[in-house]
Amino acid sequence: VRNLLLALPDALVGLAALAALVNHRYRLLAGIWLPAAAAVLVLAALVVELVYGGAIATLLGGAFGQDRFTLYASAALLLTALLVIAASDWAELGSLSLGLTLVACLGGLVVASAGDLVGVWAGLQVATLASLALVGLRQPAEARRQLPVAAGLAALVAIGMALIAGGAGGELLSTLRTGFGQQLTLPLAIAVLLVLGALFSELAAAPLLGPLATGAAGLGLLKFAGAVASLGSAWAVLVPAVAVLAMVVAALGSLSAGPGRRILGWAGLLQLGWVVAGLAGGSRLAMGAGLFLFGAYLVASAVGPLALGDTPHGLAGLASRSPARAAGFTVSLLSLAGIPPLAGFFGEFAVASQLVRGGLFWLVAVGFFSSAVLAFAVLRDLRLVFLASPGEAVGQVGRNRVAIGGAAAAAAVVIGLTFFANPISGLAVQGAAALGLR
Amino acid sequence: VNLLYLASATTTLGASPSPSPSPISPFGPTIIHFNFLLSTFIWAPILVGVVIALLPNPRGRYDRTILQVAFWTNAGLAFLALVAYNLANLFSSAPQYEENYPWLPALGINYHLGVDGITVPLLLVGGIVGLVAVLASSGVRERVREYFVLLLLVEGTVNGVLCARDMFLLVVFWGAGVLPVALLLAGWGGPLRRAAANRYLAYGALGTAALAGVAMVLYGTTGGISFDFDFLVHANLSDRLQVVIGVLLLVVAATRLPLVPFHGWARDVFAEATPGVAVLVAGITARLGGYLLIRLLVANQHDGARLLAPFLAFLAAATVLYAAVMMLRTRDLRRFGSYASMIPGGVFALGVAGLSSLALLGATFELVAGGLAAALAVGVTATIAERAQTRDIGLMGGLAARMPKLAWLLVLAGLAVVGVPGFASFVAEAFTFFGAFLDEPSAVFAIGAGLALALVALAFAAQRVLFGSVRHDAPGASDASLGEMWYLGALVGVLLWWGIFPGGPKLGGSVTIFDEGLVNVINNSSADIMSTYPQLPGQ
Repeated sequence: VRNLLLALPDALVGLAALAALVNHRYRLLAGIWLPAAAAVLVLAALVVELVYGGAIATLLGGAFGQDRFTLYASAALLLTALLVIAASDWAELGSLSLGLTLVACLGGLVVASAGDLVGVWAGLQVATLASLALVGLRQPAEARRQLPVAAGLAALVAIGMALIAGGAGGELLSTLRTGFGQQLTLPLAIAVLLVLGALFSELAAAPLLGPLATGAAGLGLLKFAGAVASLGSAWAVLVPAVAVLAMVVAALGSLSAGPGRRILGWAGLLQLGWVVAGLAGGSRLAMGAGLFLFGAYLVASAVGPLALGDTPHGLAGLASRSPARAAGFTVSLLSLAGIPPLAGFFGEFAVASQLVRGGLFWLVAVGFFSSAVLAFAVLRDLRLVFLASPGEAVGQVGRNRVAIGGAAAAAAVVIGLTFFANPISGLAVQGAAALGLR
Repeated sequence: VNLLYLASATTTLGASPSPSPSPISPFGPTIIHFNFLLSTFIWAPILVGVVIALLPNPRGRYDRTILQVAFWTNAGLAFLALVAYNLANLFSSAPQYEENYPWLPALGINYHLGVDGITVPLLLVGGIVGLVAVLASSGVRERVREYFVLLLLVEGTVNGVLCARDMFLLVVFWGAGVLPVALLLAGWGGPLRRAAANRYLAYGALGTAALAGVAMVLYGTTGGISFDFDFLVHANLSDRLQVVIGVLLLVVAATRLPLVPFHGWARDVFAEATPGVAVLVAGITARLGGYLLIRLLVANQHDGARLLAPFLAFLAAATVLYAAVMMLRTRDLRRFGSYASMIPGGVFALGVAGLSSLALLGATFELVAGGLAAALAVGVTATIAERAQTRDIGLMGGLAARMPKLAWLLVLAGLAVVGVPGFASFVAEAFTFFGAFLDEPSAVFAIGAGLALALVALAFAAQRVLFGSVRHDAPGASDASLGEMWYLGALVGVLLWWGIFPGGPKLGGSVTIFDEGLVNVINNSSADIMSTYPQLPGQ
């Protein structure tokens, strides 16, 4: 019974998703009640995860596992989902959107607790497809454009994972950790690079689909990388190269990008580059720092767009029109850009300190330089938010009080991550240890 | 008084490594039974700023109240700084008013604060400059709330840099202070303010990245155990690594002080910013670069400091000569003030390059006095430009008759920057020159020549701006208001106080009253730093 409790968070989120989808069909609850009920269920799931998630157990013959990585990852996903629910205007978005959001969260939870490659793949695809459908509700053309990419990447991941499972003699992650020994053959190296390349691509594309899809993609990547850590020599070049690529592209992209969501996107990509750099560190502490940063990224990347609401290009004078939205946007942007003293900076600094321990000074230098370049875009946006006079371009700022309160609360959560960085980063390091890293 | 004092000081200060002649005084820092004094310096302005930001201010109804809150917050901090300065233990170079709590133990990061004889005077200067900056900002009419919130945030981060005893904390506060200043520059001031903000941000981001690099190199090469200064100070680094760290620190310091060739931001920033922001940046924010050079290079990287000293002396001379030449050439009064404000940074760098107890004492004194003098220079020129309704020196003339108070203040500011007797900057420069002469004689002569040139430039500027006939096409001019007189007069007063009483006023020739003396507060820590230097053959 106690072991079954470990599946309770997933069950609660699944129940909330089902309720939202059913409500879309039968209209049982109206107004604020459905989002409120969903928020309560997700909050309950978070509480259960935090109270009982410290246990170490497996279910279904090892296909479902609970460890410190699962605890950290699930808590981060549930917190992100809670913020998304709190700060979105569901009266406008509807029950179906809420249901799909919760399904995406469920997919991420499956990835977090998966004990084998099938679980990782399946959870990832559930989260991606649900998020894709969510995008399709508002921007069908964008979703149609993303669908073939997502399908292709899913196929590549599946093929690569099948090859690896065949080589290791089983699909359980624990088998992968010990199955290869130190022997690295060319086909195996190609399979590992194939999966990693596809997962990197999924992670890079996921922010277009939302924070929960990104969460699932990032957790899938971290979980897979932890399982094949013994084959580190296969990806010793690829991982730093991907990190540098993400950082440099994000820094340069930010210089020419428009304000608002686009800057959030580039800043997020740069931070994902730092997360990937944490993988390059190769140690438990480096991965733990990357995991902590990824948690901070998830929360901040969820907050920013939600705080902006329906004014994607209307930053001018936002602070005078809606201080709560401005605060949410500012906190999110500063954290994503890695500007002190918010959680994003803590995470990046922690990753950098572990990279330095591993002798990767050049990677740290590239990261700091990229962050410095990004600061120009941050200055421009903050000048618009706080110093520009509101003009006609602002349009209408969303008036939903619940959503505005959610944005402010989300900002408070990002700040809270900063002040409670010690226990949270400690849990992240334990999570990295649970992946088998030393 | 100064010369007599110097005559005795040069014979006694040079070789006095941390005498500790008496046990810790019961009237030292322990008299404040308050464990969070330094945290108050950091977090009080930040919290007040956040509260102001959150309170509603419809149509600027509470602008005046916000100004008053900012003023009284700064007044409180300045008072606390004065208390901390007066109660600092003169016979200990150990950190005082210390706070040390684990923050991220896994990474070796602590919330570790502490001040010593080098930091306490800078905290006091920060308090004075903060107060002066608020007074100088009383003319701000647009977005008053945002302005003072940013101003308070800057002050909090400045105090954070000064109090930090952990590299991570230092980087946090250093980096966190860049954006608010850039926003203050972007939002208020002259027509080129956005360019000035971008430039400041570029140099600030470069400096922050370099400082983070220093932290990483130190952390990585000491085994990745702790970011605490007390731990890093014992690191035994190779010469090569010390030079790498030294070069990075020079970049950090040069972007702030500023030193040639990293001075690009200063001309535009001091010329375009509002008087309040210009005073704050020149008075204390820029001085942090110098503070860092002492704290991280001179105190920790002995071989690196020695190897880089000639290069630093060259930068110092280049900075002062460049500033003096540009003061002669410029036709813009605010830029004249900008170039003048670069001179103290150059003199400070000479003191650091001197690498002797006396030179370091002079350098630290110059951080304090030079900051005040630079703030006065940019403040006076900004106020005159506002009152004369033009920055063009060619359009000015005969202002002495129309604005006699500001005319006097301009002359005093110029003399303070150059360092004539009577001003604190004179004491600092004398210590610096005497202390650095043995090791860097050519740089001393070059800087001396630069100061003479600056004096000539001041004379020309005074002649063109203050005297002569009034041009027929010159706009109307008025003298300083009471508020402006207060803030500029306060700077002059403090400069004169420490210029006349560098060792504190003495009752009956021996008993110190009110002020223990800036020299005495600084000397113990600076001598202690230099006492750790191994003597080279022939010294």
